[in-house]
Amino acid sequence: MNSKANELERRRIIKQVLDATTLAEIKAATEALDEWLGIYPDDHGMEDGYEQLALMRNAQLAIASEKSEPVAVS
Amino acid sequence: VSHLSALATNVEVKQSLIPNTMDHQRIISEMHSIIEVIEQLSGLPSNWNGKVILDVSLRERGTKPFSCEIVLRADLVSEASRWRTLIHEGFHSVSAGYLPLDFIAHRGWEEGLVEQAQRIMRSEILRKIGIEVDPAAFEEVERNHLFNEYVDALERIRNGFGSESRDFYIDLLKTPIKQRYSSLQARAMLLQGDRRIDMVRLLAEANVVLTRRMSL
Repeated sequence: MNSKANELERRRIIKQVLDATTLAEIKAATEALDEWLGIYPDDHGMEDGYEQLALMRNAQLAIASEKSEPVAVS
Repeated sequence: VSHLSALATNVEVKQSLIPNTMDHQRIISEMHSIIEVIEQLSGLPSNWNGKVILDVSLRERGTKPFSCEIVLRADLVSEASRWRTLIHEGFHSVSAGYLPLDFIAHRGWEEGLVEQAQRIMRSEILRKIGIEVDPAAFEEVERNHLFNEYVDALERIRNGFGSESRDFYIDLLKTPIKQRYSSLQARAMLLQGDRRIDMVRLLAEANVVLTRRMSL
């Protein structure tokens, strides 16, 4: 994980996770994080990204539910 | 056959991760102790309802949903690193204005704040509840943590105001999430001359990081 390319890829995934706002972005960021941690399971500093993604997803679902809007959930 | 064998192995692994009742009761007890100290230190009431869900299938280490329970990934029940997760979730439970829409709009003002509060007050919390943990259990995770962007932005603001660490973060915990930025802007407006201009600019730059708006 020490190469420059990997560090850049890690930064790209961090940005994707922290930026993810819509349900589609949250799903894509979760998959990107899954893939990263599949390769680097000891990179525990990345694991808490799942917390923000889960809270963002729950928040979006709660807001949609209040508005009674149908949402695409996968 | 190999597929069934792999499936059986997976089931076995999952079964071994399922915590027993004693683990569950111990984690609830640990959470009660942590919450008691966090309430003392912050002067804020926790909205935790006393329930801890241990989830074997959770991706995140832990979470404090907008409802009142706390969720911990089950394989962490005996890991030293669980303490940082339990304390982080404990701070969410006292954070003012922890509401879905406000979290979406101001996510870093919550995650960064709670994470830094955890780092600053963890050793004191653990000492007060009689727990000794080698700090090395947390150091590497925190050196490379993805919330460091948020933490660094908050620290730039704190240093700009010249605030004492604990007071700054406790004051922010007492301020509803959606008012954290505006409350600091109001504080900056009380400064004189160039210092006011510098702080307003610093706040605006940090707010881009903490809200992810106009992120490039």
